[in-house]
Amino acid sequence: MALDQDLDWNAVYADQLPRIYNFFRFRLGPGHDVEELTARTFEKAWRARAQYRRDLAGFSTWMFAIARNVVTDHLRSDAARIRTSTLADPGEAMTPEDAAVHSSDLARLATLSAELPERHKELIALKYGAALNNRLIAEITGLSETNVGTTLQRIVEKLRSLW
Amino acid sequence: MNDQFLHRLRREPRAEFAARLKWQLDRPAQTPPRAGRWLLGLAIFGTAFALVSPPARHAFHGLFASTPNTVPASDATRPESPGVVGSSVTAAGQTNPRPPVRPAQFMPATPLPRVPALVNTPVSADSPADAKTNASVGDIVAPVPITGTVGGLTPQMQADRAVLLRQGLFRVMGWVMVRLNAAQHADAPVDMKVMAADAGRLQQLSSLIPEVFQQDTRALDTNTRASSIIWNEPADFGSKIDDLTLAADSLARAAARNDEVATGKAISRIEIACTACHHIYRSN
Repeated sequence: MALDQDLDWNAVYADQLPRIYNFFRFRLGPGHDVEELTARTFEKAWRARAQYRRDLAGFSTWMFAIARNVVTDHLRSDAARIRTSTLADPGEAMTPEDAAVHSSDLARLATLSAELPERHKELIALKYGAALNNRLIAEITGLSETNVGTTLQRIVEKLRSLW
Repeated sequence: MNDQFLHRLRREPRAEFAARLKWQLDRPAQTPPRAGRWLLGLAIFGTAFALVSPPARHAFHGLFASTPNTVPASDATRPESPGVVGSSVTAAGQTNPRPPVRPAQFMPATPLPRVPALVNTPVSADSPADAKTNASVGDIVAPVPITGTVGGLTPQMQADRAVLLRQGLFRVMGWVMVRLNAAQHADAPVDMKVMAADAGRLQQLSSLIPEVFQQDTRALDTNTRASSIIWNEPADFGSKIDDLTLAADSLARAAARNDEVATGKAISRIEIACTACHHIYRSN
């Protein structure tokens, strides 16, 4: 079932772009080329669109499966080790003051979640970066919906106490 | 659950980035014209022939005898990166009983030229390069066995020709990689136009890999390091080539926005793609 025949790509793109983009921001924190990773994800999805089958998975599930693979590849690559923490985040479209606060908050999240297991970091990125509901997160991660909910609650409480 | 402190960290991607990516994704697939591919293939085969045939090689070297090699000094004195560029790339997929020919030998005597991409894939801030093909490359690599004499060529001759063609392609790719690596490590600022041009070349050259491996030479005795897994796992082989093409695309994008950090990362990504493929599909 081809994507071109069944889906409005413009709508899909408009919906998925901020989700994928923020997923990478939350998942990796500042200092990573989030735009590049986002572009890579969409390119892979676009190239493989003929293989997408709606009967097997929702489009979000499929896109995030690709995004998760991109994260894995990125973390494995040498480039990921060269953390360019001084890199300006090109996504800032606010005043320098707001940008500084925003950026520092993201860095703060990255610091606080540094000790979390990778799976928990991923849950946070899917929930708050990609803004997915628990049902979709469960589908993507293979966890039960209840498990996703309780785990997220525990993580958020912990983060909030440290915030 | 009070989680507003997390929700407010979300942010919209830059409008410019969103528009540029959409534009790239919407562009129709740009496959080189058939005639252009044949010409490029012919050029590669000619290069391979020149490398293998002693008289042709002698004549070829004569062309360069009076001109000094102007590989940047920092590159000439720097050891090659092990297993990534240089001889490893140039010899990709093939065995050469002779001492490996360093691609730098074929670098022109003039400084790195500012040349356009081989085909019409302009690279600029307004029109990012995009030489992606619509079909998955893995689909293209459907092995064609050599069954009998064709055009007076015995199966063995056909296989030898196929190997020569592959070697030629990888030598040209190695030449591009050496240029990229040299430019990256030179003391002078990176020339983004050269980067963009070479990214376009890599996109084009990588798109030829499936085609030059279409002829299945496993059954014949050839002078090759190409692993037979290539024809057993065409889809995976294709995905490895996809990775290289995408990495070259990243380089084109980074060069178009004049981003040196991203350019360096993209070159690393290309090197990783090369190594990943060699690890599986090139016999030692």
